[in-house]
Amino acid sequence: MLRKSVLWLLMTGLLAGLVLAACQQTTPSGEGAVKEVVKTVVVTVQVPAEGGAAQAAVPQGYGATLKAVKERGYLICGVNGQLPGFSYVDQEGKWSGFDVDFCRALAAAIFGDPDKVQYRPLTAKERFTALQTGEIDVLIRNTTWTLTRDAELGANFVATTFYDGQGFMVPKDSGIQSLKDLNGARICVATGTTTELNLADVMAAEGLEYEPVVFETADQVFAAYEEGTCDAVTTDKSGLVSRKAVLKEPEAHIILPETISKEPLGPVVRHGDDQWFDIVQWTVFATFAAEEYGVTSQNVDQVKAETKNPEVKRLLGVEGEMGQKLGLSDDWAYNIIKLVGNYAEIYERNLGPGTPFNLPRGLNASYIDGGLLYAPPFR
Amino acid sequence: MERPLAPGETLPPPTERITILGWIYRNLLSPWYNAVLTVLGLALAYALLTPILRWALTQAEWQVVVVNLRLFMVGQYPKEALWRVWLLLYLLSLTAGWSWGVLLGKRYATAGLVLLGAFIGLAVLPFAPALRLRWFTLALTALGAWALAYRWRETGWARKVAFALLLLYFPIVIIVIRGFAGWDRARQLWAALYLTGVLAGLVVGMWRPEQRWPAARWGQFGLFLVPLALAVLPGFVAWRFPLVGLAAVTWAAWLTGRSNPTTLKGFARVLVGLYLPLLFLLYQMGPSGILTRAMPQVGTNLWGGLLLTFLLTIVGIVFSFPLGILLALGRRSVMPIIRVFSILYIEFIRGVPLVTVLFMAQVMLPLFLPPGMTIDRVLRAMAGIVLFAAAYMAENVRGGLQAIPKGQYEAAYALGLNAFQTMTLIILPQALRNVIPVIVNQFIALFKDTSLVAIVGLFDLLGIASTVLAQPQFIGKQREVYTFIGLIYWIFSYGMSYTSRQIEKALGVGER
Repeated sequence: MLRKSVLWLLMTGLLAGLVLAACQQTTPSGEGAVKEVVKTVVVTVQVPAEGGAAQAAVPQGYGATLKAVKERGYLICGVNGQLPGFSYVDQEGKWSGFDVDFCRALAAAIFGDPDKVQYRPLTAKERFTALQTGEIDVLIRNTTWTLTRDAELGANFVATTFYDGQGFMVPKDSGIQSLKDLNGARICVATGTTTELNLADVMAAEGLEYEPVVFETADQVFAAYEEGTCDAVTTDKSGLVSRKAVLKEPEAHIILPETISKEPLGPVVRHGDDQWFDIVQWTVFATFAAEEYGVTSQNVDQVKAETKNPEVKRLLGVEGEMGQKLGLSDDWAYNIIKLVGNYAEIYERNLGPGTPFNLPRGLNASYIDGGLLYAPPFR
Repeated sequence: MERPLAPGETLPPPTERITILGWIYRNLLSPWYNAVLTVLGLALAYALLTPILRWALTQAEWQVVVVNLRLFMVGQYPKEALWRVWLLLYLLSLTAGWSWGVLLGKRYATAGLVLLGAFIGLAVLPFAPALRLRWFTLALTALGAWALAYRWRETGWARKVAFALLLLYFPIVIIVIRGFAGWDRARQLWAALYLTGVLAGLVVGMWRPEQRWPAARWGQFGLFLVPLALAVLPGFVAWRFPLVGLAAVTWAAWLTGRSNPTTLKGFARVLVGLYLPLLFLLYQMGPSGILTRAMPQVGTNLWGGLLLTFLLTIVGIVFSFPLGILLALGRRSVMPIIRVFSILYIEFIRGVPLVTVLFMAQVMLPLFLPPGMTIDRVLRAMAGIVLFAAAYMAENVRGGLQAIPKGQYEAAYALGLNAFQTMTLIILPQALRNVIPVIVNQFIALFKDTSLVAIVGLFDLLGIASTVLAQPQFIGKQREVYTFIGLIYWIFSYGMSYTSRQIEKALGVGER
């Protein structure tokens, strides 16, 4: 009996060893790992801990990220994973959404293949750590651009892909028309977010009385609002619009015109690799510029062949060798537009009239249409 | 009753006759206040259940569950690799049917029939025809395996096959789900060397060559001294760690073989027989090998849904159980360092919530690792769950150990058993039997606790539910989705607790 149990123990141990060995095969082979460790020790000694030892441990420097991504063969993109319209898994198990499309655009620019992306769903708490530790190459997770985050977290915001802002929704028959009418109202809000703080700030500034009704999650907030627990509900306007669409009677509610906060959302990269910063930034700009010049995924081939506009020629890689300056191929922007689309296409696909959100472009229109999207010249 | 009693004859005790009305009267209405309570209870049940049922049957839109069923079950596991999951299900049917036939025979036939009925019931539901056929064949496989195993239950090999299936199932699951990344030649060579080392150590240890050739007494040490010596040579710096590992593994196998030559004979024979096939399989694990082409690697980022929940649970149970036993024994050890370490570990983990452990594993751990080294996220979650569950398991087992009277130890010593034998043969079997309910309780808790990985961004059953809820066409379908996954959790948790009750009954816990 004892012998038998020893035997089983031994066998299980063996199998466990096998499994572990199988699990480790993605790490570099023994000798490589040793060298890697030696190299790091040297690197860490050379770089005095600037901004915490955590960041010193990540391989950094001009061009390091692009090189790592190309060697790996795919991009690792940090996303939300649970945000309607921005990033979620569809019924086929494929990633889709507004943020996801920018991940795809980046992969198209680098590899000419928008599917060479591995998505890493991240919570709000772990997103910056994941970026700092090199677990992801770029963070495209509805992250608001603030000074503290830009300066202190070892992160660089490259551009704004979506201008959001906090607003209010009220029942139409309540007679509330503007912020001023909210005096003395009960307002449903999610706790622990900037939303709650913004609400307190703006009500104090306006000298208005109100009673916050706080909940943990957005689902609870809107369930309470629909049951009439509170007179108004507040969150980002994009969230209000998408939630309004699925209320029992969407027509019975209105969104107040005021926007009480600035929430510019956009991709974030690590400090220390300016080439990568440029690549991500100009990928976003390429989608802006393509919309500005009317280049879409449908007509891009035709435009490329026929256009006389030198700016468009440079954008599409016909002349000017713009891609090489970024460390990419010259058809990088062509690939983005052909395989993913320009900004308008990305917006329409995920948030536009064909979707349940039907979100007006607002600030997220090209500057020629009165919005804020403005790409510097491609030259 | 009609026959008059003979003098001196006594009436047999009256047999209890239970009619439905009688039962209702006695249990539900008997004193007047019970009748009131019954009415109140029924009213409450009606008030609660009717809205729920009305909602579930008429108002709820189950479309969200129907179209996302694959996501709920396996997450983003690639469509073209789904056959592997089915393969594992068939293997599970086979394993369950076979070991049931051998180990249980016709006992618990009702439970078995209910299980079979559940599968056939699934086959009747309006799924796609191919799917229904699979459910049906799954049930058939289990039934067939049971019948064959029952027929041969007296033979030794049927038992061995059952044990082998049960033991190998878990590693096979991990290997098949994960697939093969395509090892390079160096890695294959090392694996082959390790395999050879284990086999050589075992065989030489069992064989005791010095009994035939005295010269071999020291010669056999060459088995592990040669790799050790190579590791010291300057030319082999790069391979130092693998070489030392090889020596250690060979030595351990040699020791094991030497101390249990007779019992290991069968095992060694099987291993020798499997040596060449294993080498062949190893060769096929190369970049262009058959195995790699048939089952290419599926990254853990694509594991999800119920599949991931199960994997996390199984890994948690399989590894935390032995670890917990070791910690429990360590806590009662007379060796102070081991005891203090065990106490510190257990009390530290018990003082920390699982969410914190998972956050540490996902967020903090990468900060401490050398650069370029990333540990897989799923693996990190698994490690966190195992380490956490082991501490609680240790306390459960300790409770069982403390319930064993001292006399058992003394009796074991009196019989001449050593400490190891006393523990494995006398103490642990009794201690573990006593704590089965607690252990199963913990396994159920573990199964449900795995849902916490959704908070750290993994797509287990709960995590996939939240991403399904973000699909634009299904915003606001929380009730349907959470009801569905709640039902899944309930089915499996209840299944576990039912099984544990049967095991308790079979082992007679609480009857002595």
